[in-house]
Amino acid sequence: MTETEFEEIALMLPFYANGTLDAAGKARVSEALAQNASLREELEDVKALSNLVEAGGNEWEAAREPADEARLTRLMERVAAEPKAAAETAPAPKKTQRVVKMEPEKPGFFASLFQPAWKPAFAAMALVAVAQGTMLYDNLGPANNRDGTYQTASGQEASGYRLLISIAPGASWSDIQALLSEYELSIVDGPSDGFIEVATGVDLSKADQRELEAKLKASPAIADVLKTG
Amino acid sequence: MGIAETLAAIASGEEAAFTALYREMQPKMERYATGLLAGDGEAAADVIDEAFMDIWRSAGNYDGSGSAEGWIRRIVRNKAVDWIRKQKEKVGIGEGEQAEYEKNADLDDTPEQAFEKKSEGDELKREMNRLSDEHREVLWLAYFEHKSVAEIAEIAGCPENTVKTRLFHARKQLKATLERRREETGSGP
Repeated sequence: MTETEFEEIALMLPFYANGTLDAAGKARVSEALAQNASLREELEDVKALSNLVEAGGNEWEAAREPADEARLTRLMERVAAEPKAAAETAPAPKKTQRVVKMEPEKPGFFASLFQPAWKPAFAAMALVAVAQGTMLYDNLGPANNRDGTYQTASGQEASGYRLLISIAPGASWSDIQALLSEYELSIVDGPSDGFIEVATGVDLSKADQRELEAKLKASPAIADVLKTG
Repeated sequence: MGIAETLAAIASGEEAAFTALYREMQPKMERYATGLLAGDGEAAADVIDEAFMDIWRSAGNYDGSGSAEGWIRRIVRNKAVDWIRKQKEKVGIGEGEQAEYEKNADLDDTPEQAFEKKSEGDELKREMNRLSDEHREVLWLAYFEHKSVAEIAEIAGCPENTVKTRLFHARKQLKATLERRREETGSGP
């Protein structure tokens, strides 16, 4: 038996021992074992390891408590509290849902925004957002009141919490637009000095403000978040 | 309804399908996570909850390539690896000090003393904690769950030869323990 053959058989031994080799593999290993004492010794190691894992694992199994209904109930409460990822294409959340329900690690969210079919729509949205920002900047001007209220393009004055955000390198407008939509933020001003000023549609408690800032900072599309004023 | 169909129903927002999947898969996945976490059943239960939350969020990402169970196992594995990483960060140790993170090992014990005073579960826990995450996973799948090399390769996301070599190296790493066990049981050469 060559060294290569020996190694090949030695690598197959765990599957010989656990009974998952096909008939041909099993016959090959059996034949090699009959001829080679070193392989038989290897097989003893495999069996000792198998015994250790089986015995220890069975002990762990015996100690493991089956999941009770309370655990499932708690899980379903979490499920109910979270917007379904699969429903991302559904209409935007209502105002009453506005305070930050997105989990930071929501998988597939940004990836889904880069589907080819979305690109023209986001390009159009980005243009609208930039135009709106420019109009607002012109309307507000540096001398205008910026405390606690802002004016939308329609001329309505609204209260809300405002933040300055800078976009991370590599992030696209579609990323930003998605974030604005997710948190129901509107562009109030900018871009200026690398920052865009955004505002919520409603006043937030201090805790909600902190949560919103944390969520935005956690977004890969955002490089920095600053409070205004 | 198979697992793939159940995932499709979950992707369309059916909570009943999610509940059914949980009831069917939770015990098996918790057993798998327990192996990955070297016997920490409490942590395994938490990992499984987080994994199922991910399944709820991303069931639509299962595209039918590969087995649905393999897809779920990969989510569980990722969550378990995250948990291990966070635990290591929490206790402030680096990769090079992993050997120190054998929380169940009494470093003053001789191997014989350790063997005598530990149960089988404790001994397995100690030995598993000496292995890397990758080695621990293949060891558990081959020796406890009795998976074939092809099944393990799919779950671990690596070639079959890698599975075999990982198992080989894990065995070599635990050689001293295995030799002692063989002597204890009188099955030595």
